[in-house]
Amino acid sequence: MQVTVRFAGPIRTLAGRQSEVVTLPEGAVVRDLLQLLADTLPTPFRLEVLTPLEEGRAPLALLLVNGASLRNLHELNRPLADGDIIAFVPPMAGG
Amino acid sequence: MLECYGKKLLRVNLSTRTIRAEALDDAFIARWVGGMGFGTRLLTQEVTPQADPFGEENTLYLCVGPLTGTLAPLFAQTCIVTKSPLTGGIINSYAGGHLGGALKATGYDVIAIEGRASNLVYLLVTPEGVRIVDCPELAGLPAAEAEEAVKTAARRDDLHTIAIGLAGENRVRYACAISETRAFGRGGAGAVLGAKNLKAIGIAGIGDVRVADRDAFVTAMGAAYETLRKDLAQPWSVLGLFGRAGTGTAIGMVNERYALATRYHRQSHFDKAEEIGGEALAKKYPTRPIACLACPVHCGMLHPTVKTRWGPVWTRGPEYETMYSLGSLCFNDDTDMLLMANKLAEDYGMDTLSLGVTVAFAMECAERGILPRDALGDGIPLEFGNAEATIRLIHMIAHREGLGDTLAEGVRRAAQALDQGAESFALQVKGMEFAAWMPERMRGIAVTFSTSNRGACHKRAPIGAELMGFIPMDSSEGRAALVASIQDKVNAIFTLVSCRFLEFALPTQQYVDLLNAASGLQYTEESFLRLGEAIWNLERLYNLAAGISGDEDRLPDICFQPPPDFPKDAKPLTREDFATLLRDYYAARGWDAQGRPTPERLALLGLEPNPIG
Amino acid sequence: MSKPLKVDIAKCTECRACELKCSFVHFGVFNAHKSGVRIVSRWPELPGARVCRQCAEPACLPACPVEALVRTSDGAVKVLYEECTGCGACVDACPYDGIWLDPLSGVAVKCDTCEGRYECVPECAVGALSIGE
Repeated sequence: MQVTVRFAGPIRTLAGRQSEVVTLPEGAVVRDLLQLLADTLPTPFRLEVLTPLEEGRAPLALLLVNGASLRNLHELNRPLADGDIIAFVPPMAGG
Repeated sequence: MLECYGKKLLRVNLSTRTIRAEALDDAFIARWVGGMGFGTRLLTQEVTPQADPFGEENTLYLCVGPLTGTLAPLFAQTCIVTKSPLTGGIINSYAGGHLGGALKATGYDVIAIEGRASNLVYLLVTPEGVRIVDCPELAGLPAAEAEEAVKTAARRDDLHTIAIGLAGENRVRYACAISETRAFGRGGAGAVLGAKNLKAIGIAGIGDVRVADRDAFVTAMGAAYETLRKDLAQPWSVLGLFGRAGTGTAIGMVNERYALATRYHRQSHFDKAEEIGGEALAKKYPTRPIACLACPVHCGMLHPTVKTRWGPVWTRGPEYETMYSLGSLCFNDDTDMLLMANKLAEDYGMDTLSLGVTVAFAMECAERGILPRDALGDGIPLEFGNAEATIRLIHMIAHREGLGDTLAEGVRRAAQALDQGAESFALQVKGMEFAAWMPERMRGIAVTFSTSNRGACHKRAPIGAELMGFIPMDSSEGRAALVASIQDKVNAIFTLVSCRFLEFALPTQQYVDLLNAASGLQYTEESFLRLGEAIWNLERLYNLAAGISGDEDRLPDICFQPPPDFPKDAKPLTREDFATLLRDYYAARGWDAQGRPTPERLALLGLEPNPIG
Repeated sequence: MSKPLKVDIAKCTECRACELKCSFVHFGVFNAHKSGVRIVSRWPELPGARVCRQCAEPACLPACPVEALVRTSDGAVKVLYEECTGCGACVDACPYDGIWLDPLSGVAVKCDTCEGRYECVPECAVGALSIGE
C-alpha cells in the first residue's frame, strides 16, 4: 500500500523534504512507518523527532494520521491503510 | 493600597472641546481592576444601548491596567472599549506595543473620548497639558504618517501614538486604529474614531509606576519569568515559534489538521499553506523581531523595505489570521501580495480579518453569479486566487468606491444588500466577520464564535487543547462549559491587561499573585475568574438591551456543509450538535432558555438585576 | 575605569525591559525616564541606544557644582540623587548624550553599572546587552 507523509514547519527542515509517498507492506502499522523513516531520513529527524516521540518525551500531537493525533503510544501499533496521510507537525499548546 | 493605579480618568468631549480629569474611586478600582473591566463598566453605565456607534453619544474608552508599565512580562496591551459599528453591541479591542506604557506614565488609567469634533483634530496628552489640535492637513493620510506628524509637532521623543487611516475617516465599519507597529484590530474602533473626527492621539508621560508590595512583586515577577522560560525552552514551544518567525508559524499545525478554511470554506486544507506561513516569509524577506513593552517573546516580525511587484513596502508582517483571511480563504498564495495587502491594511487602517473575509465573500459572490466578474473594472476579474483583484478591492473598500462602498459595510450588511441567498454563506456572527478557524471542524470554535459578545471572536476558545488532541475536536461533551470558563478567564486577564499569548503558559494563580502584589488587593483564583464572568454578563446584558438577542447565537448555514476534503475519520458539525452545544452553554452560564442571564446568576456575580445605565 | 554597557543594536527588539529594570533597581519604580539606558525607536530602521560611555576622564564629574557626582568602587560615575539640584551642568558637559535629567524629579540619570553588577544585562531576552571593553 502507499501512504503520503508530510512535514510541516521546522520539522520540514529536519526531514529535508516537504512530503513523500511511501510504499509499505499490507498490514503495516504506524511503528513500521516510523522505522522506515528512521532509516531513510536524515539523522536529525530521527534524533529530534522519532526517538523522542517513541520514548514518550515529545508530545503525541507531533504526529497526525488523517488529520488527527494519536491518543496514546499504544496507537503506534495502529494499522495503516492505502491512501492514509501521515503528517509531522509542531504541536501547539494552550490557547 | 492601589499604588499601581493613577486613579484618574481623563474625559475629553470633542463636541464642546472640554477636558476634565476625574478621580476613579477605590471601590470602583477594586471591583473592576482595570483594562476591560474599567471600560466595560464605564460604557455600560454611560452609553445608552440604543446609541448610534457613529453618533456623538458613543464614547470610546482607552484603558490600561494594574500591571501595565511594569516589568511583569506580556502586560503591554491597551484595551479599547466602545460600541461597535459592526455589531451594534459592546466591543473590546486590544493592541500591544508601547502605547499602554505611555498612557500609564500619564497617571490616567482611562481616557474617555466623547462627542464629535466639528472638524478633523488630534488629541495630545503630555506633561505640558491636554490639547485638542485642528489638523486638516492630516486628512486622508496613512495612519503611520499621521502618527509621525503628531510626534514631530509634539517635539517629544517619548510620545507614543494611535491613529486612523482613510478607512476610519470613511467610516468603513471594520476600520481599525493603528498604534505604531500594532493595531486595535477588531470591531471598528477606527470607524468610531473617524466618526468623531479624531485622526490621532499622542500620549507621553513622565510619572513613576509603582507597586504596593515591592518584595511580593519581585517574587511574583520572578515566578512568571521562570514559567515563561521553561515554556520557551521546550523545542515545540508555540511561544518560541512565534518569537522566531511570528504567529504565522502556526499555519502548518492548523493546515495539517484539515482545519484551515480555504477557498471560502470549500476546502479545509490548502496545499500552499506553508508557502505563505511565517517561516516562508521570514526566509523570503528581510525580517527582524520587534517586541511590545517588556516582552521576551517578541512575536512581531518587521519586514523593512521589501521590494514587491507593487513597489517597495515596509510592514510589520502579516499574522496567522491574515494568512487565512487574505491568503487561504481567498485562495491566494502570492506572498508579495500578502505583504502589500497587509501594508495597505496598516496604511488605510482596516482589520485584516474582517477585510479579508469581506474580499473572499465578494469572490464567492462572483463564483455564484451574485456579483458580476467584471465588477472591479480595468479587466481585473473578481475571482479566487487573483492577487490584483485582492489589492484592487482593498483600495475600493477604503475609498468606498463602487462595490467597495457595499463591502465597506461588512459582510452581514453586504449580504442583506445583495440578497439572492448571500446571507446563508456570509461568514459572520452578530455582524462580526469570522476569524481564522472553522466551526464545522472544531466544536470549541462553534461555541465561542456563536456566543461571544463581540461576534465571531476566536480569542476565547480552547484552540490549543483541540488542536493538540487533548480534547477531541469533533466531540461536544463538556465543550460548552469549557468554552464558558475560558471566556471568563480571558476576560479576567484582560483587566490587567495581559497579552492573550501569556495564557498559553501562565497558570491563573500566577496572574492573581502579580495583581495582588501590584495592587494590595486580595483576589483569589476564584474571585478573579468570577470577575471575568461578571464582565461577560455585563456585556451580555448590554447587548440584549441593544437588541442583540439569543437568536443571534447562531452560525451561518455554510458551517453545516462540510467541505469535500473534510477528514474522513472526523465528525462535522450538525445542527443537532449545535443545538446541544448551545443548550449546554446556556445551562453552564446559568442563563434561561433564551440566553438571558437570570437574576440568580447576576446576584451570584454581585451584579444588580439591572446594571445597565 | 569601568566598562561601558554595550548594546548590540542589531539584536535589539525594542522591548525596553532594560529601561524598566534600570529604573526599578535605582529608584524602586518603573519609569523609562529614570533609566540609565534609553532605546530610541526609528522603525523600520534599527533603533538607537543612549548610554553612558564610562569615559576614562568624564566631563560630567568636574562639571557638577554640588559634588553630586562621585566615583564608585569599579570606577563608574554615579549620581547622588539627594545632592543633585538638577542644574543640568553635567548634561551640558557630556559630549555623548550619556546623561540626562529625569523630568519628574529633576535629578540627573546615567548608567552607573550598578556597582559592577550591570543588572540590565541578564534582563535582556535576546542577549543584546553585554559588558563592553
